Amino acid sequence: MRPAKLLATTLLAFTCLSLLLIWFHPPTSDFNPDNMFWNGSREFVRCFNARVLRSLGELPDEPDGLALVEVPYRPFEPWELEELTSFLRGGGTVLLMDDCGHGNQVLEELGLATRFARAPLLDPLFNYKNKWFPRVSSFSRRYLPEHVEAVVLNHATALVNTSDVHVLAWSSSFSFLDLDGDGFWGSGEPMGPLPVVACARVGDGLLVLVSDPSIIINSMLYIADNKELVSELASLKGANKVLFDASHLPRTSLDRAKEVLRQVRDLVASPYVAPAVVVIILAALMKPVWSRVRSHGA
Amino acid sequence: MRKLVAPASAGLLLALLVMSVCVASLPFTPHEDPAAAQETMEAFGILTFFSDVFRLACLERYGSARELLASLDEAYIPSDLRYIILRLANLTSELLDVLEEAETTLSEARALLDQMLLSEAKAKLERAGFPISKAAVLLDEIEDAVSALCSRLGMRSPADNSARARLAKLMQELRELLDRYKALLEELRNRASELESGGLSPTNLTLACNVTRAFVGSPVELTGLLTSPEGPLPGREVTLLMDGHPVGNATTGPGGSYRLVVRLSYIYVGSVSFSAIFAPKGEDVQRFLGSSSPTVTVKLLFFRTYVDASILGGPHPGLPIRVVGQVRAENHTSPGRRLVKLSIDGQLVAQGLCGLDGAFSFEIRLASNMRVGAHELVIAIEANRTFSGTSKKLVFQVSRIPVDVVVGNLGLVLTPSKVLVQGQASSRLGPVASAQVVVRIGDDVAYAETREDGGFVAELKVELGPFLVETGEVEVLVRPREPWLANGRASAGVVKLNVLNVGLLAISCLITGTILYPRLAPRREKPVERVERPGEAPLVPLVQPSELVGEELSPPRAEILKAYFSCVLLISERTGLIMEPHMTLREFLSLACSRERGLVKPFTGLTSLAERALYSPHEPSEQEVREALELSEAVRQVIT
Repeated sequence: MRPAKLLATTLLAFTCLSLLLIWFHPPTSDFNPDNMFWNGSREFVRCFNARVLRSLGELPDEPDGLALVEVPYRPFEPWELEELTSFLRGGGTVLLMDDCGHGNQVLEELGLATRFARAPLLDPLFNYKNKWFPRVSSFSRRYLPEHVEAVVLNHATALVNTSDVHVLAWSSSFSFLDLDGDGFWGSGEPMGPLPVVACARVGDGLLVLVSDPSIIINSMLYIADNKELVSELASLKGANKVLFDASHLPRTSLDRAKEVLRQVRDLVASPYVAPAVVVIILAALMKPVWSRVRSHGA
Repeated sequence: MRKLVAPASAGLLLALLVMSVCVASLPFTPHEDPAAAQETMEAFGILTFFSDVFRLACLERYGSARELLASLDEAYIPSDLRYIILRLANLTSELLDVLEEAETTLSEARALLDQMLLSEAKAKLERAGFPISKAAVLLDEIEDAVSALCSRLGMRSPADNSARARLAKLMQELRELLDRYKALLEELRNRASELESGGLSPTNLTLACNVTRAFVGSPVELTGLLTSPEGPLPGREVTLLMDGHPVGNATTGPGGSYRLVVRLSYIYVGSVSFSAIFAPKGEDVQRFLGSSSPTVTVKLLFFRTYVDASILGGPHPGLPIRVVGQVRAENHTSPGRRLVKLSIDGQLVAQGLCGLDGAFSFEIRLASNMRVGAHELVIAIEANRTFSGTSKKLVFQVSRIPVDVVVGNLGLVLTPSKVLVQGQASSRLGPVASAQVVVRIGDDVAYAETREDGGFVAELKVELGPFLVETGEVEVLVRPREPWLANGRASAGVVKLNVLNVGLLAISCLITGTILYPRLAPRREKPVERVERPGEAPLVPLVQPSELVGEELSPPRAEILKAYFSCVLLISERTGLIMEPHMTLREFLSLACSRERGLVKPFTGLTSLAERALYSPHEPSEQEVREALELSEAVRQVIT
């Protein structure tokens, strides 16, 4: 075999192998709805039968009865904020679950004073294993039923300036906001109880703020009453269908490659492109036979 | 070049793998794996907790301190520290108990001394000494436990040290509190001694009740006598207590006797106790000691009330339930018209009087947004004079009525097309009307509404898919408007046949057939034609090489090859097989044998000899030449 031909064959084989590896390698990014590992949210999607949105442009026109779970780890475009606001004002429920992401961008857009503190909420006493997992057991019984007894957060923050929202849950009085990030309480750092879940009416809809999105990851969903809390929050306004926005989740290079492949697959699988591809493949397969017949005829 | 390809490929693959598993770097840690998280506890949290408990104790808010201490059950405590911390919590709990006991006893002793009840006060003061001593011991043990805990946890931050210092300060305040209790005890003891040595006359107070048992609400007469060693004490005020609470005052008459009529409360317990105390006032303070009477117990009589109740009908959101029951009284006494209160999950939902026979029946419409699951219904009967009250709890399950959905069989669906999905929705209450129907086949969705008879027809536009044939399910979801009905679901198998792909497949088959037909089908006819025209041009060049080769070869080789090629020519004429220029002898053998099975043995042998003649450096023997001629003859016999 000539070197050029060998190189071409090797490259082709390598490309095919790479594509197969990318296609079949399980996703590993945080909150990814297809990620079955500890940091994914496949269990949440399965458990709540949630519909995964790849873009906020896919939001239904009739938001009544729908609850959108939003983990804003990537910034919003202006049109996305408009879509979100329109969904809320139209009667939908939005669970904005953030700690250090871009949740405040949404709150700013909605004109609310409440903010995600973006500093770690630590609880050195009432926790699960260590202070980074604060245990929350103080709830507003006006909104949340008795069977939600305790919730465990994971690298959470707290809500501040909560004058224009109804607070639904507070951390313990031993928790504190670690403003300087040294892991220890220092004078001037706010001590608990601190609001961690709140809600506010926006138009006909309901905005629910949760200061930790990690309660929905596979390894946290079934700890304490995390699942029950999410379920109750989603149905606060009677929503019976959960949507999960995957377009603002953190992405790895693997995710990006998978996304490109998925787009190519969708393009090829479309009814208008598929026949053309079939014809091209057919023509390529038939070429040797065709040339043989032609030479034989000659 | 080849050597470079393998390492380059391996390197690229490795790079791809590394790149694929690399997590996008966020500027913060969004979470960590709880299963792999390390168990740690910091001094700051636990020391702050105990500081808060001790602060409440210093304020003598022992109840609040005990509540806070109980919340330690919810704290996460690593197993290696569990014993120390729980022991510390137990010691603290004991300390709170003894401090509260000391505080209560001292307060009571002070009150008794204020009433000049010397003997009772002395008994209290004797009891107060023990908890104070025990509290001092407990405080020492707690300090030891705190030191041990701090050494195990380690003081790693200024916050830890400040929490430790705060705890030490609060423990010092607790010691000061204990000192105050000790000082108070000493002061009260001195007061008691002064009273005892003051030459005051002791007094004696008796108490009697006119009945030993009485109905609740009925009056009872309490009488008694107040005396001193000098004789009866007239004109003194005696306070009467029922279960420790004052119910009235009586003034002694000329003979020192007193009388008070008290109406028994409507409390439905077994008995009440009465006592009387005399606390000297005015000039008597300088002359007499106080006294208390023995306790008199009166058994309370009343009719116990019972209630039986049940829920009729299935509890469903938005639908009424009927609660029926019967109020009964002890000894078959008629209970009369009693007030019945019904509450669900703590909310009063109905109330009214039962019948004279005690029967009651209430219809309660459940809220349309009532949660599905277990709820608690409490039927409370209010007490009425001599009839006690009672209550009964019933736990009932609220559920939604299932909706049955039947969908017509679709079988095969051609895509793209419009499909009519028909079905029927009903529940045990009848057809489900005006319900929303959602029909889905894959990503194609259609909506409809059920008619009055529960039937529905949804027109679903099924779009083209990428596959020729797809199996799937038609899923139907019926969402009733009535809150008491559950969502109904049904599904049926469906096969989608893509018309476009069928067309493409047909065209592909047509093209393939068109291309292959001239090559395969007509050749079966050719052998006959070739036999009739043996001198046809294409066959001549095929034998020419053998002749050419034969001229250059030695006679034995040429003989064998001549015999071989004569057979090839014959086979070509008879079967229509052509020995192409690129064919090997074995390829032709394979073709010939596949066409005529009888050739296998002789032609294989002949081909083998021809190959040796062509390619072997050894000269063929005479024997091999003869063998070739014999095999050639055998081939001729088979083929002709």
